[in-house]
Amino acid sequence: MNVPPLIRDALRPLLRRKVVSGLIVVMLALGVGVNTGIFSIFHQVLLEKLPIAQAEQLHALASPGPRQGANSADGTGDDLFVFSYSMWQDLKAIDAPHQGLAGFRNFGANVGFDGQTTSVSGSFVTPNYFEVMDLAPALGRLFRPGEYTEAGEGATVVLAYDHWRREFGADPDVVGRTLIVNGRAMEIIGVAPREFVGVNRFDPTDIFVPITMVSELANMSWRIEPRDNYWIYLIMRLSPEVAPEQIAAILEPRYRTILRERDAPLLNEVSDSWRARFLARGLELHPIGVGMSNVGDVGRTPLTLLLTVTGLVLLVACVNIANLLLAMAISDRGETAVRMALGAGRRKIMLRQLLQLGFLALLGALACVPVAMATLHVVLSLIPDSVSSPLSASLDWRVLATGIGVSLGAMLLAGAAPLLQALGSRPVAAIREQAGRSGGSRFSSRLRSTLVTGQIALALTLLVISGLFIQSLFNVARVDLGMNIDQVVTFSISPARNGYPAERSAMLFAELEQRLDELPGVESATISSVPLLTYNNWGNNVSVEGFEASSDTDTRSNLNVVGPRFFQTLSIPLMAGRSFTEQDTEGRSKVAIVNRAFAEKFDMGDAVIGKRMARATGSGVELDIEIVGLVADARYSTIKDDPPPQFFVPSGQTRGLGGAVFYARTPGDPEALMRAIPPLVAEFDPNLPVENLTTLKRVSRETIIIERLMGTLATLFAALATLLAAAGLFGVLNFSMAQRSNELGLRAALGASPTALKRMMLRHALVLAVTGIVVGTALALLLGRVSAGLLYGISPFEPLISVSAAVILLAVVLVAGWLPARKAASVQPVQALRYE
Amino acid sequence: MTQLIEMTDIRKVFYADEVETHALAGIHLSIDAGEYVAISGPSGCGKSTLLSLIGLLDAPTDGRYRLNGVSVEDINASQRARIRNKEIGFIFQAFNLIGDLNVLENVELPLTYRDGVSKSERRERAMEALKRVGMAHRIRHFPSQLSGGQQQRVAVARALVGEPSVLLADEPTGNLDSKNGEAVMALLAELHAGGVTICMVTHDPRYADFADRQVFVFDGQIVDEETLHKLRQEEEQRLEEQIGQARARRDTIVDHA
Repeated sequence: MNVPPLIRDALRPLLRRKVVSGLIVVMLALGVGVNTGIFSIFHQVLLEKLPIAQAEQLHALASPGPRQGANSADGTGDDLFVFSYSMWQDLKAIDAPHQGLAGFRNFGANVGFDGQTTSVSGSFVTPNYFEVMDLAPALGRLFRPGEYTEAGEGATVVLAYDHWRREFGADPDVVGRTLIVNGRAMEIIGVAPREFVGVNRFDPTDIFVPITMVSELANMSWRIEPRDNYWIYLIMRLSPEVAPEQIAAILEPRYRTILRERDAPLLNEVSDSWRARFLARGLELHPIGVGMSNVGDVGRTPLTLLLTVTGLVLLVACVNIANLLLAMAISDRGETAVRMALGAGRRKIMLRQLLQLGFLALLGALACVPVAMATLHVVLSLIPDSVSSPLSASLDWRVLATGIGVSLGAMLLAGAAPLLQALGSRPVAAIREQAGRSGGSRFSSRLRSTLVTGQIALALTLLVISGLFIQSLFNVARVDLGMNIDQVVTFSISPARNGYPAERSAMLFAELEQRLDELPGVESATISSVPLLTYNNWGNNVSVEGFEASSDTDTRSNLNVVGPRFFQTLSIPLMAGRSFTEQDTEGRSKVAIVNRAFAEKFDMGDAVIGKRMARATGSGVELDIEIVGLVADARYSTIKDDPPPQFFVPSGQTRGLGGAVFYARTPGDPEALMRAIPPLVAEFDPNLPVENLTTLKRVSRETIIIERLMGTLATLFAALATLLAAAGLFGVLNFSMAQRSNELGLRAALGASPTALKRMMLRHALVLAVTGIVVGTALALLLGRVSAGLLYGISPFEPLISVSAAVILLAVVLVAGWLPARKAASVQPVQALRYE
Repeated sequence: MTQLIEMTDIRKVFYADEVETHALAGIHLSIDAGEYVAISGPSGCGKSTLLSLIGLLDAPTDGRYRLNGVSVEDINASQRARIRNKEIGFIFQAFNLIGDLNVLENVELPLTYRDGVSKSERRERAMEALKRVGMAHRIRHFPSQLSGGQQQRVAVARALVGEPSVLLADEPTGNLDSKNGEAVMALLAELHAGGVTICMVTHDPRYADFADRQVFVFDGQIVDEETLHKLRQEEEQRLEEQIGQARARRDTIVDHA
């Protein structure tokens, strides 16, 4: 191959030093690879725009402040982002310079087609939704502004492109066919464009249905008419020339007028201050060009922190590379001087060095791809399917381009000092030095030491951070849940989505609970309306006998509708009174069981049993429920939060549950029990999908995903950084040893014993280590402050962890320094005679 | 006079792969305390190897060596280092100052390897040594800021600071111009006059004349001056013959052409 002489000349030294060049490429690949892997997740979660035109024009509306009535939010966004259907209509009608205001709400659906029923994710959307999104159909048509205005109108479906391809084999004749959605026949009118799965990409939509169908398809409290029913997320597309603040300034006064004139009259029994706060609610516009999801909000800090951590790993790798390049430049100094003496200009020398850096960067960028893929796979394997499934396991070209850019940047950063070293060569001086001592200048020796100190500082920072996350994970893992989650299998079913009326659903739950309890290998089985430890909450304002509450008193308690063997199945201790029985049915007196936190919140003292309560507040509320039991506190929606006040009501006295969660304890193999469940459910209804079939242990593990993710990855990256730092220190000491062998010989000649020489080298390593540790501790304090929100049961400034990290690092430094020190000890004093 | 150095039948063989090089072949050498001895000889004759053995920088392959009455041919590296530190002061051709240390620190260096010498004593003795060589005014300078002659003076101070039994100088003027070379030789002569034992390797007869006694090394053996002269003459004769043969071959090739 005819390689231009300049390139051949530049690459020859790299090929001559295959091991060093290989090491540089490996270090670069590791540093850039882990960054690219984490950046890929970061990009997908926080940066990737929605696949629609001018996505940056999309903004979500939010209105922080108090509300009264039914408030329902999901993983798309917090409470402040949901509005009533009526408010959407009112805001849409305001004349303001925007391109449209649409609403949507995701829901779970059971979809039947050709006799097969599957569980999918649906989205209720306003008719102008697709227009605001500026989307054109891939097939058929989409909903149009102005159609479907009345409740119950619009039994039509638009399929998401992926769903159409996956479930219908991309059949072009699907338009016009009928789909059974939650027991209701709906006509397929079109297919949404490729890649579009709604605004919340972490709850990808399979089917879009008109929002006017909500009462027909969702057996929930979401309703079209009531103004105090907050459940719709609103999205506005701004005009290009209008800023969000301008729109907010136009809309906000009108919004407050609507609140005052239409919503406030519906409020009842609120204090004046509460009413004032209600009327003062503002209107905010939040950009959602990258989508709208709690995953983004929850993931922002850990992902940023992980990117910082991998950035530090890359810095450590860069320092190693810089040191290797510096060593190469020093040993090539004579050659560079000869070239300069022969007439090579500085530009030629610089070009030669840049070609070398570029070549190494290119190889590093190529080699970083498998590292990035491996990192990506490790991260995806650590997060639950529900979060990871929308994420791609392949590297986006933009991410790859970023990786290559980072690789080049890293090489330029690492190569800056060696480049200056080469350019600073003076031919005469360098040739003279080449003849004898070639240890490099004091500047380059100090630079190398400073770089290693920096590496050690970074490694310590990462070790401390990883220690904090490991301790946090350990703390979370040993939290007393107040129940025994081992050997418990869980799943859920949603018969209402198959069109079951409330009566039939209740019967199904009771029978299935009974059959499950009787299954061979099952110790005890129960149902629950709330899936435990999954961030789900059900709550009510309650009135409790003997507890005086004003209009501003917080009377909220969490609620769970449970089967008779709930406490037995989950091993939650009954402290007083009785558990529920099969006899607690409708027609019998209403009963409830409360937990200790409930008894404390409502000042019940010791006399809990026999007191009465109601699931409502206000004067004249009848206390129609008798408290028959007191149970110990157990975690409810999360592991990290303390058990909230809870009251439990028996499933036999509750109608209208559209779905339920089942728990079954087995002394045997949970996997075997899991295999037995789908056939059991199919015996009742073969078209009823079994959802979320897993073990409670696994559910709890998924609850602490952030801790596991951070604990595992921070440890992995800290170990990598420490290894790199150790390799860097070893390299520097070894190089220093080789360069100083004559000096060491001189010292030996002057009477230094081998032990003294060994001590001298180790002392050098320790000085670097201790300086690095001091700097690293300060850095760790800074980074610890950023991570504070992600830690559980531990302060970000934990002296024991800092000390442990320092001890680990010192041990690593001593190991890394031992071999060069031993070599130093074996330097012969006769070397002094060769010292020039 | 007390016998300071006594070497009997010292041999040194270097092994490189399968090649054996006999650098020294049966050296007998005695140096008395207070003596000034110059070791001379052509390049590669083994004089530096001999100096490294005298200075305990290396161990002999065979033979006996007593330094200040102690047998030292068969001691370990740590003992060797301790004796070197106490008994021997080195002056090297290229000064061998450590670039990262200033003048004072360079001079203090041998004392840092000696037990029981406090920092203040170290400083005091270093200053004394520097005064003796006329370099006390440059203690904060680094070697790169000094001239060659000044560097060698500092090196002499470093050799003196531990009050060794003998100063070993390996071509101490080799890297100096004649003016500085003479100055260093004058300094050594002055030290010798003060009672210091000196053993110097040099190939320059002008500087060898500074010594009380000259030892000639040729092909790894000590020879007297007459023998050295004879051997050199023989060598020169052999060389001339070779040159003559080479010229004859060249002329033959030209004729044929």
